[in-house]
Amino acid sequence: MLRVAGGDRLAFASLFDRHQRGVAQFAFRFVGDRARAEELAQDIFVKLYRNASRYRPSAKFKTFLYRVAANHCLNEVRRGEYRVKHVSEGPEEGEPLETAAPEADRPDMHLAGRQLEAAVGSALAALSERERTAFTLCRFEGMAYLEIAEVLQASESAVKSLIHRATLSVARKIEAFQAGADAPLRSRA
Amino acid sequence: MSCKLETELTAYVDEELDAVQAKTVRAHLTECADCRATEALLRRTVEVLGTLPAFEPSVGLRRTVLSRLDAAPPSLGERLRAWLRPGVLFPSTVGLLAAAAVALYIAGPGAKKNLPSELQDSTALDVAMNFDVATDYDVLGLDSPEDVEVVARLDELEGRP
Repeated sequence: MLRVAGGDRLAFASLFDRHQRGVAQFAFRFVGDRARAEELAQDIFVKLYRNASRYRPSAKFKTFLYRVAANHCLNEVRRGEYRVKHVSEGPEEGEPLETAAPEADRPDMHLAGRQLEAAVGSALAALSERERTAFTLCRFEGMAYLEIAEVLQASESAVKSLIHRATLSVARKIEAFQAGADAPLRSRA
Repeated sequence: MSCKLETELTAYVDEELDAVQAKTVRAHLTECADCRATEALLRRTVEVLGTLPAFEPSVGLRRTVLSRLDAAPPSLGERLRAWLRPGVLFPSTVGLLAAAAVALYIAGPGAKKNLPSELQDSTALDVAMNFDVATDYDVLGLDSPEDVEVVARLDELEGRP
């Protein structure tokens, strides 16, 4: 990262290759839209390059990166640039459900998998921004509570509460979906 | 759910509790059916989330990001770093020398004898005072092609239009 701060493009490309999937996935889970997630990921990496000199070696790089990512996504959503997609509201007739990856469009991927993805997207959209950030970093990026606390600049105890509320909320949504209680979603299958 | 340990269950499932807290929750689970049900729900959820396919960014993302970096104007930091390169530092030193010469010249006729030997000559002083418009690089003593190029592109290097 220090080399990136010195304008080393090769070092930046190496960092990009290592973290692009994680950052893009974070953005996707945050806004629930593939194209917007790509745009956000672009912005985040450009911002990372421009702000590389602010990085201090005492901070873990991943923490620094996801702080940039989380702040950018939060700011963009708050500015109204991006509206978190409520997948539960579902597509119009004939429009495919939003999916997480190209594999999800494969014929061999079970329809239930896409519906599960939609249910998770819906549950994420219903969370507060901080809950969604903490939940995404924990469940999809595999970060520890302490690391998430550093990203959010919050106490570990606050992060524990955020993740608990978020996980429980998502769990109940998935449970309802699996029990067939999410009738509007199933009716579009 | 009103159980006071319910809020610890997710951290327990995530193995984020210390040994003492984990032991307390484990003991509680043996006697609280509601918390056992919640714990099972949380574990199922974590497992289900792990089966979701990872988001794959497009193959063009890397190219787009690098193109945006190329297209953007250099930041202040990048401009400063460019200025601090040794090839640029030398003419800057000449400029500083010229400024010092002008200051000494203005200070009075007696000050001239304090000038560095290379500026004792009145021609050298004229060149120093008109450094911005000077184009005769031989007069300036710049014989390195790199230094000549730097002087020729001073406007560009300073970010002037």
